[in-house]
Amino acid sequence: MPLTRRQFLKLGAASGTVLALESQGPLVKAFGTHETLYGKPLQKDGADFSGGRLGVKGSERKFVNTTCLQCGVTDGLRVYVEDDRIVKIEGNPKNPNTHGPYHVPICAKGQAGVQQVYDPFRIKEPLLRTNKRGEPGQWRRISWEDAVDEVAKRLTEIRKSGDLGRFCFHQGRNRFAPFTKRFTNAFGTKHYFSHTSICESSLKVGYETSFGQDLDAADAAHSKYMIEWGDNIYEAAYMHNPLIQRVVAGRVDNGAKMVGVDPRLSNTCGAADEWVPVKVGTDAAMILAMCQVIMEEGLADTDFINTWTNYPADQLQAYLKEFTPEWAEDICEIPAKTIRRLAIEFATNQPGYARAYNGLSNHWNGTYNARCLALLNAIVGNIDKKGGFCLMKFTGFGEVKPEPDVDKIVAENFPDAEFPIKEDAEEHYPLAHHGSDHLLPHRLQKLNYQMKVYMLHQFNPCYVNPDRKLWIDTLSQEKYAEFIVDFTPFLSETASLVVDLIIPDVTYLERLQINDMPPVENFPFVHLYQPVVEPVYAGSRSMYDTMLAIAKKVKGIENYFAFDTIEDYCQESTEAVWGPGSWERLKEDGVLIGDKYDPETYKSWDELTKEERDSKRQFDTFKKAIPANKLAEMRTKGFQFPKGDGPIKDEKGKKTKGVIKGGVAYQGFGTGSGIFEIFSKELEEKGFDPMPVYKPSPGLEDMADDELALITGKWNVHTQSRTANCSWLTEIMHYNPVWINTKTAEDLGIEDGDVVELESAYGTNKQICRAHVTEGIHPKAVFLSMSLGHWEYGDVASQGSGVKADDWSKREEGDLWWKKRKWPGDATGKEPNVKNKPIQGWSPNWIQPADDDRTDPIGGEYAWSETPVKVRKSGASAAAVPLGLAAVAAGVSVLAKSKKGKEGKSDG
Amino acid sequence: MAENNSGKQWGMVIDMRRCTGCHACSVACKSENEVPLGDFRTHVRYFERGTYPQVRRVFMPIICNHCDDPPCVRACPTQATYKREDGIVLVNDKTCIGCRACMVACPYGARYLHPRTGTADKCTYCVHKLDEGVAPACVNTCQGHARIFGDLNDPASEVYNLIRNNRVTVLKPDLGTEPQVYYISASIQTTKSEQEAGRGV
Amino acid sequence: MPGFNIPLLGDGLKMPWGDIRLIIDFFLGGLGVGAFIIAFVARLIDKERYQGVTKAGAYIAPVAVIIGLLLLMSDAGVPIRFLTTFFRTHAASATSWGTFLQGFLVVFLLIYAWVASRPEGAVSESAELAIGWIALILAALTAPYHGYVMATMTGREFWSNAMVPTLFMTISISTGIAIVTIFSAGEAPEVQVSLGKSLAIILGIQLVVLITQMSLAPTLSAGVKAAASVLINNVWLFWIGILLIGMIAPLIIDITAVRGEAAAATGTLFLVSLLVLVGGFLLRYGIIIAGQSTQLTP
Repeated sequence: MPLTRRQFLKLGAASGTVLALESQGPLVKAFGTHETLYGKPLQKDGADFSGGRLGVKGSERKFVNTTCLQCGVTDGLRVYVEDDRIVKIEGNPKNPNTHGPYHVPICAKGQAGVQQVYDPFRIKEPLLRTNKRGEPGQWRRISWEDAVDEVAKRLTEIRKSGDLGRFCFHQGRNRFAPFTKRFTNAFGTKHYFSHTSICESSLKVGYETSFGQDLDAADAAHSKYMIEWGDNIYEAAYMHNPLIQRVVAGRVDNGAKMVGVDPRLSNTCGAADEWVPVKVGTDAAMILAMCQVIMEEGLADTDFINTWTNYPADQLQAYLKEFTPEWAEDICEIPAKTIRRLAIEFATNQPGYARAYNGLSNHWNGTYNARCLALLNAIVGNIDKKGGFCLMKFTGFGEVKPEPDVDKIVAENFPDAEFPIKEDAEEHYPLAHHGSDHLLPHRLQKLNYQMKVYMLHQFNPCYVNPDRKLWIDTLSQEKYAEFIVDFTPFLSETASLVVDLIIPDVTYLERLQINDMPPVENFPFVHLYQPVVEPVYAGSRSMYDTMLAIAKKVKGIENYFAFDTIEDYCQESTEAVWGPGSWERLKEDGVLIGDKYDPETYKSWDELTKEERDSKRQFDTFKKAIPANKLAEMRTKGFQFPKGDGPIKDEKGKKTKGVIKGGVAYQGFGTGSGIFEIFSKELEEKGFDPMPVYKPSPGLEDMADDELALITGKWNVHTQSRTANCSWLTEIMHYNPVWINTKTAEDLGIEDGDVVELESAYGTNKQICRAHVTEGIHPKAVFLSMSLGHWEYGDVASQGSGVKADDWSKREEGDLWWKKRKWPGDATGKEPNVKNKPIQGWSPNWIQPADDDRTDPIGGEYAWSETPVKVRKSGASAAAVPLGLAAVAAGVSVLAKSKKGKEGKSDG
Repeated sequence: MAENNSGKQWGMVIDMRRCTGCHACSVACKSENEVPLGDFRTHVRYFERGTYPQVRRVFMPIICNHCDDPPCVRACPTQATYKREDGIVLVNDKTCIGCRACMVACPYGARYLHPRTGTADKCTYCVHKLDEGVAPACVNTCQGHARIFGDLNDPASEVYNLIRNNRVTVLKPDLGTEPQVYYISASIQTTKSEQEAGRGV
Repeated sequence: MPGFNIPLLGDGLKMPWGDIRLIIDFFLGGLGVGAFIIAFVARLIDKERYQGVTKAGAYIAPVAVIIGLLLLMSDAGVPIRFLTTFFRTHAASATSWGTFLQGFLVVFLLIYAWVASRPEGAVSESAELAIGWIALILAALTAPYHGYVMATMTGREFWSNAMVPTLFMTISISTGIAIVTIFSAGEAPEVQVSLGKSLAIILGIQLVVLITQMSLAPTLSAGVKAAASVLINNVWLFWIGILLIGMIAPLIIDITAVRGEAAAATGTLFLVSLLVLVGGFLLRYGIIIAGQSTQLTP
């Protein structure tokens, strides 16, 4: 007989203190899959029903399977429409990343995607600037055809002149790179810039020079030990939504321990079983010490090291010997005992992994840090193991012939073409294969180079880049950029200040493109974006349609754009690899899994049983022998085979496609040598340390005693810049306080909620913000997120501040209820008048300098988390005002304030 | 008041070991139910405990508890708010006069006045979806599977088993509202070596 | 920390019963019935002597109650639906009782006011007494009524006790006496002094009840403690406005005045009444707001 609820309460209820942090005893195992726990599954195969707002209540909603682009993780979406309007976004059960161990969640940002489509501040049609750059733009409308013609005309001119480098393309978020690369390659420009250097370019280079891939696909669900090293997987980081589902499952269902390493108590560290607050920039020391301990204790996987790496285990042990925990303790301020214990725990609780992201790599020594972390995983032998640090598996898409080969096109037709920006980058950053393009304005000024057409793709450089003022100043000048064209659908800061022509794109929910992502299920798949509704504004079009139209009008490159529509391109690209009928299936499901589409046997991810899914996961791939038929295929393609043991290269001799060891051909790693490289010849050749080392950042070493290291990151409901216009997100996180340690704040006389100013050695702008005094940050670090700080992008993003670049006047407020909130310590409830500067939502970019000293010389990443700043209380703090009877009308808030002032400190 | 109702009784378990604090639930509900800006039918509270460097952060999702003895239902002068047979507490926005007695009576702050209709509004467990067999929006979008929804009376359901096998608590049990949202509190995993080292909880 | 935790109802940002119109309704409703109570009790004690007082109270009562109810109705989310509470009822809801209680109250107050306005002998004494008694009973039920409704609100622990209805009853009566005193400025000094004496008594009781409530608060429960401290920490509102100006000063001045010369007391009593009115309003305001000022969510 089922227990009544009263009996439940008697059995289970404690005294009402919900936050008792006691252990639950043996962890409860999952009782089977979600589907079996109910007589009738509460998921209905992904169907959804109307609430009666636009459609008939209870009627089934129509949906379209597509993909998200609020951030770079691109979860699969199932978007519901009623009456031709997007009403709800859910996850796509057919997407193996999004479809987790329990169900198909998407994060808050994904849910708020509806607001991107119907944002009232979207740009409705192409706009041409009529005023000077450097000031908020004034525009006149032009037709889409005229806009396309204008760009095509300019590009054709450049091509005629032969100086191809004058066309520069800069991508921000791009999930259709094969197409945009086609555009620039066909054109013949090598000036293809990216934003990766303000993301994780050093991590990528560090990983590539270790195991041949730029990122990983850690198998968290089956892990027993997880170290999140500067990897805030609970809030952001690569593969956030797919991976976090598996991290939680691994922790709760599999009993895994999670350690968070970060100078700040991010949500990851806050929820972790242990927080390790390393001193800023010293991670590598601790990693090396852990490696040393593992080796000394005899816990290393010497088998793997000796068989699959290029550095024998005994030599490695000798190399690591000096990196003792005691040595590391002095550097990173973590007790040697803890380092030793964590190392032993990590090694003895395998399978497990140590994963990293920006927190580890956004330093001057970022690449070295990444190589150290790769070594830590290699030493315990968890590479590509189930539950370990796995390689990524891809099937991808195929070529659409003819494929433009930019080197060939330039060499054959434009031998005089110069690419000085690229050459400069390669000269100073020879190993930064993922770019160092945050230094673009520096290079433009140094080389006195004028870009004739500067094309931006989902990028807001004057806002997201460090050295913000330099970006704005440089791009404002025609002598560095003659014509700037942008596809942004929102009036970004860049668009407002420096762009000449805006050809508004649609949002990702109205656009068609194809993409693939690292599979956290270790089984490859591809997916697509497709329009869920017709473009909301007739004047906005998919930027790829626009680019296609431009391409067709630029003389000399049309033959690479013979297809009529983007859909034709996507179809051809898909069916080249997946076979006939695959495009239709891809449009229907939103996803294709595996490596081929066979209409007879194909099953989508949600149609597979648990056993089938388990059987499909791929591990230990580098150890797999290449089958004979595949070898034959490789030889036919012209792949270059070594004499004896060594790497198998592709026909160009560039990429590693396998490795021969002991006469047998294995898949191996994508490194130069085909095996895991602890010792990197590539680094050595360019004058860097070939081994994983700790090298202290000069920027941090020189820090004065009264300075603190400014580190940055994202809030979990925001990305770096594109989500602030979603009011559902901004109402949750709209102000951007600077985090400061309690003791440090006390020494500086700063209290929680105080107005403070941050001053770096760069620029005259002081960053003004509120202080969040917390125990959750290293005493020598302060944190200011980069996720907020718009002064354009609509009223919600700019929070009604209406602040122009140098003009701080306020605009009218919209429904921004949070602006009426009372701050702790602010008696009158009014925002303190700091020369009209709003306190809400400021970003660190005004005070973050960028130059060669603050860029990782190997990987090219900008050292985001290394700006020394002075923090002091701003002179404009509001003094306490005695509460008066005059406050009767506002008395509600007055009484509330005196209560809140006490509450504010103890709450999280 | 539905007492010992042997029929279906919808309820929720919130497993705080799993919550990542991501706010997907807050926003999914907003989107599904067109909740006005500034009001939340469900949201997540953050708590920080400890002193540097032993600091922890806990996330606590909050939602209407669909109590078994709901003070809001008792307070309503027109019976516009009522508890359905299957346990869900709802508001009839055609008969609600907007007196806000229910909001005052609720110990959990679960209700708000809808600015457009002038009537009381609250979590409905997405009843329009539930009646068709689909779980509430917040449950479906939860990254960590921290919100488990189901029939509290069904021994085969996950909620039933979680409540039976874990130590669960409810909010403000001393007020006698009999909330039907059960919390499993967050725990810290310690390894054997830590325990040997005298560390951990 | 703000921003991490979204402010909600009960966090002090949004109070369901924080609108001034509602607070004025509670104040006027209590003041009205208090005025009637003192008016009719005076009539029962000595019809001749207190004729003026009875008339003053009889006229003030319905005006105050009706204005209060209109304000309350305008504060509802859907004001026109307020009238549906006559046929959509809920026996378990104290709020529901108010419709009928105050509905009948208004009717009988109006009838009595009309009767009081008739010339002597126009209405039979038994009829007048009957109506008056019914109105008195209704008024006596209404005097603590708002406090009672608040006490049924499980979520607001500061209100959920027997003190609040008692306190609100005393405020109803004290403010009722005060307003009647002000409108009886033309009466004989002895009459005014009688009013002053009864005011002193009720004010004394009010003070005892309030002190009991506030001093017990820290030991009752966390919610009560928190709400009470909101009030106690507010020097201007609680210590100066409510206690000093609203209760202690008038009490002392009143006692001093009524012990002295009757003729000399009248001006002072006028001042005392004003202070009591201000204090009564602030006290209602303070209890209502403080009770909703604490965080409901953990």
